[in-house]
Amino acid sequence: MAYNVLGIHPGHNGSSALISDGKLVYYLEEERLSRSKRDGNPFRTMVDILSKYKIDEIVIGGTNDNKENQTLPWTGENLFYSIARKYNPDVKATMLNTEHHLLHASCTFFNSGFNKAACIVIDGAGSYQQRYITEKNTVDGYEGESIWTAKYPGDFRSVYKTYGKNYPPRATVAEHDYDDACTITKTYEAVTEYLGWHAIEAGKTMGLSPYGKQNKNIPPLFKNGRGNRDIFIPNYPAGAAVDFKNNEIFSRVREPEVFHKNPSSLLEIEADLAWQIQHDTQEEVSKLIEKAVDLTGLNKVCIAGGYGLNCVTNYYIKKKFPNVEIYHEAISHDGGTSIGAAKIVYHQRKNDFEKRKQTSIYLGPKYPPKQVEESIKSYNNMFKIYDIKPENVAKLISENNIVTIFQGRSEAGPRALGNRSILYNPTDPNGKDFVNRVKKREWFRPFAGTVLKEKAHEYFDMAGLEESPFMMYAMDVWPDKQEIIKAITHVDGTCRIQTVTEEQNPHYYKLIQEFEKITGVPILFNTSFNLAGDPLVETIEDAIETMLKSEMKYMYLPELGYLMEKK
Amino acid sequence: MNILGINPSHHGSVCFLQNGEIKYFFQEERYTRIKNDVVPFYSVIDIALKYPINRVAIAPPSLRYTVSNLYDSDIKYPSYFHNIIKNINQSVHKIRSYEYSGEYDFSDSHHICHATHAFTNSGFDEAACIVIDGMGSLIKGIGRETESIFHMEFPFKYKLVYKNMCGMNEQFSNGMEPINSIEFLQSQHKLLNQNIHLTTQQTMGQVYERITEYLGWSNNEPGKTMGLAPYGKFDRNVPPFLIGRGSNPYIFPDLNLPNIDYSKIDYSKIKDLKELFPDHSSNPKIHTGKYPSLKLDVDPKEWHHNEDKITQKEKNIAWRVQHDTQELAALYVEQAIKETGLKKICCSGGYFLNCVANYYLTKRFPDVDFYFEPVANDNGISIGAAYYAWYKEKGGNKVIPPLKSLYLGKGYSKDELLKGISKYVDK
Repeated sequence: MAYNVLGIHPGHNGSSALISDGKLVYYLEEERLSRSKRDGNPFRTMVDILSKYKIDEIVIGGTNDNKENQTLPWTGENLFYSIARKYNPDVKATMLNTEHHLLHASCTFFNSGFNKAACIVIDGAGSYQQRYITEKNTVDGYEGESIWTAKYPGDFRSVYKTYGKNYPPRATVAEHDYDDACTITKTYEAVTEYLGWHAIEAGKTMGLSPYGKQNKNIPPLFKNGRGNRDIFIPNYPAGAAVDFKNNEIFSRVREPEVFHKNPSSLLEIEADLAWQIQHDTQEEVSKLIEKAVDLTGLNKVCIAGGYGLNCVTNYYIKKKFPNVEIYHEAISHDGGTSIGAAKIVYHQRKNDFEKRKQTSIYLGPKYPPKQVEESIKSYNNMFKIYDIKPENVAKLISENNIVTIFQGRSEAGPRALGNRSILYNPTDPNGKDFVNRVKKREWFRPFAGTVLKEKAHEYFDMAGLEESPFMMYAMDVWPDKQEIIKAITHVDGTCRIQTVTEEQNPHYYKLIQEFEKITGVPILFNTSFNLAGDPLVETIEDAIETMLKSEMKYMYLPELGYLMEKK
Repeated sequence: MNILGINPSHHGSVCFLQNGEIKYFFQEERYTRIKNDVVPFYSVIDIALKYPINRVAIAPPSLRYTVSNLYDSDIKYPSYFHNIIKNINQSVHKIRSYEYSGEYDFSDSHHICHATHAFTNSGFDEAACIVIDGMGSLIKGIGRETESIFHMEFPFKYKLVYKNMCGMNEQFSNGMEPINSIEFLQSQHKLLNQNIHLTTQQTMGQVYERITEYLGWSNNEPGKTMGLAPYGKFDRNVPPFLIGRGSNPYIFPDLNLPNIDYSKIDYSKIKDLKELFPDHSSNPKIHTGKYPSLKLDVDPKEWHHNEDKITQKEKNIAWRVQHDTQELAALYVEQAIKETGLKKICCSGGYFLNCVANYYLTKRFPDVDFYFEPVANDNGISIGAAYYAWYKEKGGNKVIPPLKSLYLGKGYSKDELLKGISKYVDK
């Protein structure tokens, strides 16, 4: 019998992961099933695992926040343990909520396939920790950035860590830096909030940044590796603010929400601040990488934490450090800590030295094609369903039709990788505006593309990379190709790309091949199958519901060879 | 309308009420194989996966409820159940806007769930309901309900006729918001009147539990004491365990507070509020110093499985507690008849699993139409809570048919049974 460890991440982007004999076999974020964005308590995903597998161990992550009281009255049991033991009476339970960054580090290290590496974790706020300086004096704060050395079977040592807190004092204790100034991600959160979004929607700020430029009037955003305290006011654990009352340059003339819908009302300072924060934080992250290499003497670096999803920075440092082997974890955000929690416990418990590089992240529940076929039958009156060949689907796309694709298991992490995607023609010059309107997103947000792996170098400056299967980098499009794939080339000439091989996703690969035969372009416009603000679709019913409430007309089910067309 | 009634505390259970009819009634222990298991996650999840749920009614887990704010949203149970059901319902049944109402006013909380349950199942149009159990809900500043009499009728409504409560000083600890204001206590004590009575002693259900423990079993196993009772007989060396409506204070001296008349307390003289309440935090022991005749010579564990070791004393103690409690129960029946003028009586609460007492009462009151609720222990309050919610939603007309069958657990298909036995079958 396989030894099964269930990892739970309670907190935003709540998730459950199942490690079976060390192998990650299931990962799903709660929002996909419960359909509330970034849902916190992974009850549904957990129940899904418990009803399908026998569990030997449960590991509960989290950030040790005071609000995280999971103790049940009457028995004093932990809530998640209680649910698990109802199905598995002998289940072992471990709480790992005191060091959130360790779980990120574990996730990225075990997935990287490296033998030994430095891990860098960068996120908004991890666990609240206290540290003794002397017997009587303690310093405390939330984890901000950390550097680790990691080796098998599960030996993680923290060599450097910054802590943030809303109030002074400042203290540095043997590579542990406590301060009330914002850490890297916090400054990014502050700007994101300033621009009118939730602190967690940093990707929107990133998308806006190329519209800005260097602006000499903006005071330095960073001082000594921390956010400038005169500008950024931290609000630990969640969020931060730009002090626009005491900084005239940032003073509010109107609510920022106005420009979300209207390009012409975007203020110069807003775009420039977005540019500046992207620029400055990527410099700060570079410093962290230098520091990690210096402190650990290792040439292999794994990156995780919410900031690790910043594909612009990822590309930047990939180019800047050609001699350092860098692994960017695809499930970098907090959802990935359920994987980290389960893996570290498994490897330590079983003293397992086996390396398991994560080569596929199609990790959602399995839906047998027959079951899908059964489900779509009940929508007969709303859809025409007919057999179709990939070349005909490619033709539809080349004629500027949006076609959604639904197949297999859903993608882990925030990116759609061809199993739950909206596909479009990347050569349509108006493609970006068109799909942004259909998906109801902000006008400035760019789109990603999927390219056949062997053709990627023809279109993109791969910065020495062989492939980018999990869409972790916004790469430069070669200047002469930018006009060709205009719909997915951002204003700064970049595009976030996924490379795909036949082995990774045969149906998707085939479709792009057919598209190339028609248009000469081996790339498809690929964006997540959802409407703005919704989680990625998970079940066929979610997919159909999304079709019905939007103007999208076609859905392609490659396993069944069907095309569904809305009547 | 689908209503899910939940009892989150011991004897955790779930009642799934579909358009007023019990579709399923699950006792958590049956599935998790842990006796009297609490927090019925397994049952809740099982039902939520199969059916959409429109309303959730969580029976008061005899935790902390005050008269003015009985439904305390701070309690973790409701929010967890709510969250789990919501997430599952949204994913399986595609319910996007989730209907949840936690605002049912269980005015007499735990006991009203028992009473609603028994009354509905009885088929009576109007009846007196007697609830007797170990402990029900806590009314802050007073104590926990132990015996209640309600007057119930259709369209569903009820009136409290009498309630006996036991004072608890747990309300000063256990992580509850402490009571530190004399004014609050004074205002709560004003609730005490002829209908609501507070005793500083143990009450009948608890005394039965104490004697059961004294005879070497856990307080969950009073049925064993009942089984032993017929071996005993009246013995003048075994004193009465009950005096009035509380325990004999000489036998349980740990609780020995003078019977306080709460309407006449001089609050200005009280230094420590705890003085007003007996300490139930550790179960009181029988005072064998004062009653050497009650001292057991043999460790009960020795005679549980060996007939030769038991003496007449143990048997007589069991007889006495059975006798005393059923006499007091009869007193409550008389009171119920007198105060409501009704000859139809529903009985529920853990004590009424005492089939000896039930038979005694039936014989003693031949002209009374009794209904003894078969799921009288705390398992039943999930049904009571679901019924209560149904009445609140649907106006309280008598539409639910009287109880006909108790085969309410999961059914298993032939295939499932064959699969279950397959690994034990020699091929």
